[in-house]
Amino acid sequence: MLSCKDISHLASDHIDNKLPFLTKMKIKMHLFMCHHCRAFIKQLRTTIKTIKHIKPTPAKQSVIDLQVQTLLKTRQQIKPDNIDR
Amino acid sequence: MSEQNLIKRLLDGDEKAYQQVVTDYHASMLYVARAIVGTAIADEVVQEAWVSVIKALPKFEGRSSLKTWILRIVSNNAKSRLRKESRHFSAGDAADLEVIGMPENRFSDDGHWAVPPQRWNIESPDELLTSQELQSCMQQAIDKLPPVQQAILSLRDMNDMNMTEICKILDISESNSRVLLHRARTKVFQAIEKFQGN
Repeated sequence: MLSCKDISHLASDHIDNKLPFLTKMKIKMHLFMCHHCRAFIKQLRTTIKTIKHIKPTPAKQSVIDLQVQTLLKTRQQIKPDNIDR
Repeated sequence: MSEQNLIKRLLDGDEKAYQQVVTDYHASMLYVARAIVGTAIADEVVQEAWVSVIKALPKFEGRSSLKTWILRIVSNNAKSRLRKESRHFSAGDAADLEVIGMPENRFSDDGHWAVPPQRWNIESPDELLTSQELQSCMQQAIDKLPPVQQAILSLRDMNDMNMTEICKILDISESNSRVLLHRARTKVFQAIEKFQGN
């Protein structure tokens, strides 16, 4: 019988469908009886769905501009003879 | 803009196309570099990787997405930088240092919840995303993650990248990557839980 702690460890693999059949069945049995773990799995699922919409902290525009200018300069320096076409 | 069109414009030296790829990919490149070489020289590795990308772009065959290809270049540059400095780092090493997911003190000795998850007032992702404050709270939780967890969470959950590809890029086993992904997710979960409790 899996404990709540076991369920919390296996939660991501359960949500991502990465567990063997027998473990999946053991989790389903536990979830049938334990409302705390049902709530945990549901909330972790919501967390993952929400993370999908979070954008990484973007680089500052000044950093992007500087990088772009450096790359354009690099491109000019390696063109036309040294560019790997 | 289709990827093929974007590549053509990059090859033609179109500044707007350069703006777009740097804006879209720079953050993920930094995540990968930090995970492999650490924070101190990650910026430098990304700079070098961009130059490698520009040089190699005409040879890009489109067997993977442009983003995956660019991240592989970052990974190769980062690993070669480690070799040059005779340093060794395996992202997998980081897997054994922490608990697997939720903190130990949330459970009693018999493995049952001692501090069970509380009911959330806001329950759907759409509703959660309407709160600017919560989004910034989640972003902070992600920014505080160790570099390897940050990279895995960003590539898998934010960019929907295939786990096998992530393991190749970060040079990490699939089992370790799954443990690290779960740790990262539970930390963001706890940030949301704390926010909901306030």
